[in-house]
Amino acid sequence: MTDFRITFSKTGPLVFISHLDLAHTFVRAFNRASLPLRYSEGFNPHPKLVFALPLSVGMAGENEMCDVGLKVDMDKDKFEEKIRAVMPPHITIKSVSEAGGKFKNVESAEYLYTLPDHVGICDDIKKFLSKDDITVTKKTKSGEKNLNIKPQIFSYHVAEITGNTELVLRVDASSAGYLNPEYVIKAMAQEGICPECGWQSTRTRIILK
Amino acid sequence: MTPTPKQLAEKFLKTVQKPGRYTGGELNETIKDKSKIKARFAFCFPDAYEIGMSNLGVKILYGALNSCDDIWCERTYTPWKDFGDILLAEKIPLYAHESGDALADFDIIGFTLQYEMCYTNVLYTLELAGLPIYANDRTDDMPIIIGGGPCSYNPEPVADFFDLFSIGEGEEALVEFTKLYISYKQECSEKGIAYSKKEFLKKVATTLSGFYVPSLYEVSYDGENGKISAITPVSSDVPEKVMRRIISDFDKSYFPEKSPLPYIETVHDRIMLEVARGCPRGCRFCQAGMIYRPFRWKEHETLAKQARDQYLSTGYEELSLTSLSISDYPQLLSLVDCLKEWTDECKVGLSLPSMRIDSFESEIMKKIEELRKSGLTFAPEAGTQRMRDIINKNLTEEEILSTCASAFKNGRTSVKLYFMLGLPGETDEDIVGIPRLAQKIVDEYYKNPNRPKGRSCEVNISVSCFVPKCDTPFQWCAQDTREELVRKQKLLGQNITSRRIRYSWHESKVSFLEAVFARGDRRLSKVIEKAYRTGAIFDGWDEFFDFDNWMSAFEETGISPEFYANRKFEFSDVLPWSVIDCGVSEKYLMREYEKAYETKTTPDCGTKCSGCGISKYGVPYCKEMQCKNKESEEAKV
Repeated sequence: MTDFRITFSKTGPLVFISHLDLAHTFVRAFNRASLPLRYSEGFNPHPKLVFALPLSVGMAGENEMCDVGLKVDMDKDKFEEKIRAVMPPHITIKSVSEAGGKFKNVESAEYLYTLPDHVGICDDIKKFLSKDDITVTKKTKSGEKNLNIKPQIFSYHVAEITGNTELVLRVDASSAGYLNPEYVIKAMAQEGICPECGWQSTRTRIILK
Repeated sequence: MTPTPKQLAEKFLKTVQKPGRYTGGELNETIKDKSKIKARFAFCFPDAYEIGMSNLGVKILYGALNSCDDIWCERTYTPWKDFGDILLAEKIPLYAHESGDALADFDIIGFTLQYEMCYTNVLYTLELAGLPIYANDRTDDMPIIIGGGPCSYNPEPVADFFDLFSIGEGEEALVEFTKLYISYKQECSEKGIAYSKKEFLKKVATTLSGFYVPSLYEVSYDGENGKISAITPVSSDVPEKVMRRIISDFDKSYFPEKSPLPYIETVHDRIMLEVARGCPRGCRFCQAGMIYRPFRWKEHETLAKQARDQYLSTGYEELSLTSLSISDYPQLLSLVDCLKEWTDECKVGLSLPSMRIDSFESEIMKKIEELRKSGLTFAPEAGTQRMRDIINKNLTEEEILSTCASAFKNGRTSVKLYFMLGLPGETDEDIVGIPRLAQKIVDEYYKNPNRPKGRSCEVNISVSCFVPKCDTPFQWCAQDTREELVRKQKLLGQNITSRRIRYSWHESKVSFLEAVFARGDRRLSKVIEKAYRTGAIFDGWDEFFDFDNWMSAFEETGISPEFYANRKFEFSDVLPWSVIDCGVSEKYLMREYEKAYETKTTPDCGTKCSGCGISKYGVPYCKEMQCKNKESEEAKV
């Protein structure tokens, strides 16, 4: 029995697949490599495959993480070689390590939002994000709720680079205080600072405690 | 470099449902170097991506075409309306998934026609590609539009939209066709003459077998009764009949080692292993049972290898054996044994399509029991013995009951049964027979002393409306009127006596339109165009289907749908599809039609040859000699 942690990127057309579809994609890749996955016991056995944080449809990931459990003992390098050979295009294995802990310790995540061919909005964005109260309307099971998301925005940085506007956001990703960064973009768009559509988004990092 | 339409569309993907439908980039897709390609083929499935990616035929033909170095076959699907609207608004032409290039830049666009209700999607797809919908309006620099699949056995309702149709099995035919296109183009450039689509189509029709070019046939109508009076080739070198293509060595026929693996969930998200093609049974309503004749199968060793290749190239968790009649496959047990050698270990689930009830002999039953987790599904199709004899189902009530009893003994608590309403010769007694049979099955459950304590059984009956299909013995039969079908549906419901029976039925509206198009002729293209212009797309989907819109399309074009659906065709009528020879002879179909009305059954091919005429193809699986004997006997008479 061995457990590995895989760090990978998800780009190109794979940006548009859901979390569940990504999990299927991984299981099938392991199947192609004839890697014996460890299955949970019980009426409906499912493979031991856990992702650190689901990624929204439409967003690329540069350093995503997942833990996988094998039924057998296996050398890390051999495992890495095997999975590199079977991964579909647009999933790139960045590194493999022996898995440590579970993903209960996710603290925050860093996102890069790029608005191509659009400049002159940096100051407005900075001004907006420096406010103490950024209230958004969230849809929840019990209806709509107004919430101040500012405490969940840990840091931000905005710049113009070669004609594009780039916004780096680090926001809460813990199980108790997870913030979908799309709310930040939506709030800015509602203020008329920037368009809501047209941003390219990438999760660049998942930060563990 | 100018961006491809796919690149232009990408920024809108975030705003549509299931954007994974439009991206391409799947594992195992075929990418080729354009500069080395002589013909570019876009294979279009005129429905949503999830349906199209589930189709085994597309996978086979995609692989077969791409196995040729100078052909590049790509895929495309009809965009869901949300994305289609964006493409139209942004003036982005529909593209093929692999290269992202506009469909209009391809040499050939192939549509597979699986279902009559996809016809408006063909028009929608052509318009999204920026192409005129009528073949006559498309110029020589535009792609050739070819159709295929089961609906092409009567392609007349869509004949005006297509340049030609491939009739029958396409693995070899489509490759030959595309190669002929390459050589014709080459010839034109060598001789310094302009390529002419018209010339090329003529060449196809006169040199290749299995291709129907509708523009080469003139249809004339009887001014009085509106029936077809004649279908005539425009010149003497055009064949009077187009013979369906058949793969004679099915065991060695092309099967892809790998196929594009969808990232998003599709309808049949699994390995599909084509165990057999055709069906030896001869149910008289069933088109598939006629147009895929003769019954052919693959050796279990061949299948075992193909299954393994597919698994290693996809990693699918499920493997399904497909065939029209899996229990007639003589090597089923050996195949299951072979597959079980690795599927259990790899946690791959095996599944089988629905079975014939009479095939549940104990040994198979045991094997299947191990495989099946879901409920049992059977298709008795009719509620009384008389009716089952009329349709040649060759199934007794005893067999149905004993199979259900043994399923209950094995611990099952639910069964699902398929039936049809409106079959030829049906009486109210036959309809009432359906709930009566269901009740007897419920009684079987309570006869079992070891039934699970505290659990009741569930007998689901799903009832569809009979649709007369071309190339079947019932092709001449009228469909019941919608009022009559609705009355019968009610009558059935009123006769259900137990709460253990769950009854569901199909909308007669859809079945009515299916019947119109299944037996329609060329005049219907105007109706299809009209319905499309007033909003009809994705007619196979409840959320889109608009019956009233279709009815006004008939009204405005002055065409009566009842003329096609509810009229009994005479043996002497010129059938709209009479140019196309599906392999079984008209004589055989007439004979079966008459036997139906005499309530006489016909044994399956394995028991006794019924001389359907398919033996003229000389396919070894068919009991050739027997067929010949029988036919020569008939000739004497």
